[in-house]
Amino acid sequence: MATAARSVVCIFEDNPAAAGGSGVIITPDGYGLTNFHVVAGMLKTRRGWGGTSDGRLHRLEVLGVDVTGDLAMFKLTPAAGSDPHPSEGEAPAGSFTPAPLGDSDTVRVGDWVFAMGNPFMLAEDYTPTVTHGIVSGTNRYQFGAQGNTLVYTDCIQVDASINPGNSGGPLFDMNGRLIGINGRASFEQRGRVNVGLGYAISINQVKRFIPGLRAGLLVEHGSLGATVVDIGRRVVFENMLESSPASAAGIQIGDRLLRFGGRDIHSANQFLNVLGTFPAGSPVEIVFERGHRAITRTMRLARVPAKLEGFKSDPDLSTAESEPLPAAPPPASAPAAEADSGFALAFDIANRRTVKLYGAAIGTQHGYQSGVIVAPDGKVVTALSLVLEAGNLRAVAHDGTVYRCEVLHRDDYRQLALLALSGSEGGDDAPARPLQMEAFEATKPAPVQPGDWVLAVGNPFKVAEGEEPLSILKGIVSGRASLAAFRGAQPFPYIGEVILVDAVTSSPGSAGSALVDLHGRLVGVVGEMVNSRQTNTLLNYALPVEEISAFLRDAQSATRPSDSPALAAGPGYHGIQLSTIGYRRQLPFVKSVARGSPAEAAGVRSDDLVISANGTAISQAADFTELCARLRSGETLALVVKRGEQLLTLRLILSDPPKR
Amino acid sequence: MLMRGLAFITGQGCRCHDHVPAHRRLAWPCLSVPPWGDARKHFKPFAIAAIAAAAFSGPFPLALAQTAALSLSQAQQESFRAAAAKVAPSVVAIETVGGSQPTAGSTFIAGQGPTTGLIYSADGLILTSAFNLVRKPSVITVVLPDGRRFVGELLARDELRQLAMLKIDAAGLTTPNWIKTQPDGAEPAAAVRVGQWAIALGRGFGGGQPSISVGIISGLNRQSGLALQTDAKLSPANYGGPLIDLDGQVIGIAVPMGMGSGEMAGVELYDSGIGFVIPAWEVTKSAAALAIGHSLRRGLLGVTIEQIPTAAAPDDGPARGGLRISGIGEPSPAQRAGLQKGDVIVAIDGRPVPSYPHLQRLLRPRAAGQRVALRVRRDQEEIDVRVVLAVPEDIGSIPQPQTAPEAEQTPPHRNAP
Repeated sequence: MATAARSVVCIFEDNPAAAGGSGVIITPDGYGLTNFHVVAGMLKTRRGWGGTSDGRLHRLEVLGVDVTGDLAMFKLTPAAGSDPHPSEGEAPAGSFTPAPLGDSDTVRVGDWVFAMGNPFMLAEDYTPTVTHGIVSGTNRYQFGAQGNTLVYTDCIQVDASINPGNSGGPLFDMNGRLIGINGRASFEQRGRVNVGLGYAISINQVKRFIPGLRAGLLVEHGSLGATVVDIGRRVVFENMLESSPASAAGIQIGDRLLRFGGRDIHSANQFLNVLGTFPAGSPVEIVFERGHRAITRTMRLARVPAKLEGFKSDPDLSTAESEPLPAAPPPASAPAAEADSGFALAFDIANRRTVKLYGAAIGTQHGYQSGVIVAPDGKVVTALSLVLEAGNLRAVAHDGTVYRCEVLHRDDYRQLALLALSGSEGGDDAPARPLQMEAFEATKPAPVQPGDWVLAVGNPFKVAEGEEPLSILKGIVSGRASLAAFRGAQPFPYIGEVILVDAVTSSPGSAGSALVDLHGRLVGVVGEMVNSRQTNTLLNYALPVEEISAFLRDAQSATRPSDSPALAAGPGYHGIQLSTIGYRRQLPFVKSVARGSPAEAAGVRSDDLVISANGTAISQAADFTELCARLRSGETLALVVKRGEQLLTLRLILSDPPKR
Repeated sequence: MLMRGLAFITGQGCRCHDHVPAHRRLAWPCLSVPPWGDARKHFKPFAIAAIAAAAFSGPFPLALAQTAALSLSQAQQESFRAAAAKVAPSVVAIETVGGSQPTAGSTFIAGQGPTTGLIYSADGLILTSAFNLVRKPSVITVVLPDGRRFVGELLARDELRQLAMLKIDAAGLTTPNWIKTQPDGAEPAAAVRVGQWAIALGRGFGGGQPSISVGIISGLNRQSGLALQTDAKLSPANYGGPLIDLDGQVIGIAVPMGMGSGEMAGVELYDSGIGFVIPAWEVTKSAAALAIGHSLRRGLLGVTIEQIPTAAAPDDGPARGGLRISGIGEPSPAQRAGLQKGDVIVAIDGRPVPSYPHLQRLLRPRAAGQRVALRVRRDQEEIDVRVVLAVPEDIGSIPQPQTAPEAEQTPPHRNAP
């Protein structure tokens, strides 16, 4: 398995200032795979450099490319001065250690995987960075950069950290088999930094393009010469070119598409997703239905013309049928590595009980998020946000059914909302009948403690559409803490307990995700994106299920949404005045203590330096003012002050402000 | 059977040191090393059985295979917790009062804290990240896990490793176990393997218990050899805290690190799965100096360098060639050592420097006051000189170099290293 790292290549351009990427060797004589966008800067000379984990740097030659699918093949020429005495298990001089190709169709959501590559060009010695994670989704579609380029069809989504520089590097299963080429990731808010959503081109797609790539061609993608459309749940041929593979196969307009390339077809989008994995000239089996008869045909796909200066495409599409590379030997001693994390079960439970929400996109607000089904009649808990302020708020369940949503209850303190789903979209004129949905139990506290695995199941970056399964991000419970946070520049109202996790849940669309334990039990609901007051970082947290059930009780008893306890009664009175001369970033020294105030009773003196209040560090006067603004009369303010070289703990009970 | 199921990959040992003879290089054998080392140490069979039984007690019926996978994951949870519990008594919270963040270097504004530190000695030495003291606070307090609070004194900072040492007036403190590093001469990185589980602990979110983040060791020998890399989520919530293994031994101290200098460099990568940790053996190099109040500053030669293409080795790597000294500070360590403008740096401490990154990698871990042996080429002749590196304040201005025509392709590297 140590061979995995030896197959990884750190790719550089001739210009040392230019960005680089990663690649993976798949034959002993140095053929390797990477992304097209990694070699795009080398097309003039077709030359670059490839560093391997033994510290050697080799000449790299760019061979064929696939601009649409973001693939490229390269060949390394062994560096001169190769080590004449390779250590055991290392490739002999002049040859390379290839990665064995796996079968990406057997990859399942929840499988452990690891990614290798050279993110941020950190590997000064060309040893790859290894990141570990799980498969978050399969058969994903990611739109192209511009026009018909760099489209990721039928790709593998992972929560292993994928960052700039990982591009072109390998995704391995736990047996060290190559199952994908990491090519892109969802970045937002944080700029070009990983947030737990990376995408790899599946190796089974790559295998079909290898012959053309190896021949140094610009490999074009395949086309049926026909378009399909969704009619209800049927996928039907709508238009066709006269001389197209589709018409040659005897397909007629109106025929229903059942299977393509060995996959059942449920929607027009899914068909495009599958089609994108085939190069022009590929022989593909198609099954369509006319009347009630299923007809099976094999056709060769026509080309979707592509152009790239300096590259020719395959004139007679002969390479598509040629043999792919001789397979690299399987891992020497295939150890029975357990790929299954045991997360798939919890994910399945959670996926059926979590909805995709689509609403208003106002200003910088993303118009989508997630929601958790808490009652079989279609009650959904989600984060209170502008997304809900839409006339046509819609929820999409795991089976693709679209529901109308109505906001039943808003909780301004907890920043939660309760929604009622009703009637599927199609049946507007049908009389409303009660829904029967699978729901989470939100009444029992989930028995999780720090260190426990948890899964965040939701729709960050709206990667999933319709009936596509949601994204799953694994993490552990980092701890529990009282929330002290900002949303934008405003203090976040909720100051109760939250569950902190080490999965990134601070992404657009994550709000309202279900946080579940290994058994699929609801642990919490992911809240809105906020910044921690303590660390000033985006916080990855969920409101614990205890708070969710309190919210549901409030909603049921139809009480007014409870305001923040801190804000309801106005701030309590302590009687401390800090020195406030000059700039606000100053030391929190006590300037004076009011006569008869709680502070005086507790023994606070002028010139005391406030170190912390209620366990929160106070580093400047403004921190103290902000913290106290959230406390009401009757609450305790525990101060740690420094007086001379002494540290003192003083307890105040806040009172109502004195009347003047 | 179950144990075999835990098989995981190990990565490469360090291969970057050209000076290490082939037979001495560590080639990790093709082991089935579970991410937590020897799993048997952690899970007695009855424990596994108990966990498997617990898996059945969930609200949803499970297939047997799923139960096996589940019990593995549950065993992992247990081991994460057990490891964290061993080190938690040594993880302290650091509160700071006053000060302000320097404006240069980063757009990130540090939060109000607390931040994290690790008890380094029973008599009150506290190790932390320099990041946590970026505001140059007027007062520092340290809160022990038992709730006791002490005023902390900043003894010294290590600019190279982004570490800092505090002292509190306390005794009998609980120190953690550190990983065993190899005796001198062996590669210390052998104590840590790529692919092994790693847990980061921090006190940045307050509360009595440290927060936990789990990942693996992603790489060795990062940041010019000063750091390890992990995909555990590192952030201001745990910078200054320990990264530990599943035995509850400290691997190193989490710090933000980027290619830039300054305490804030690298913080923009927080929680990205790209995190840096100063390993035990680097901490050792630093801690003795810090404990006696001796700060470590980055050491410079006081020259500007330009990369010149060499016809001799066109296939030697991207834009490799000679590193020509294009300017010398007046005064500077280089001037004192008799280096001249036009000298081409060939090797540092016997290791060749074919490119600027090589030079940087060799000089970045050096502190001011350290001596390096330079080999330079001057008029076809190779000369050896010894240079004592200095801090930037002790280096005078460097006359602007006249750009030679053949050097126009690559801009000179200004004022560095």
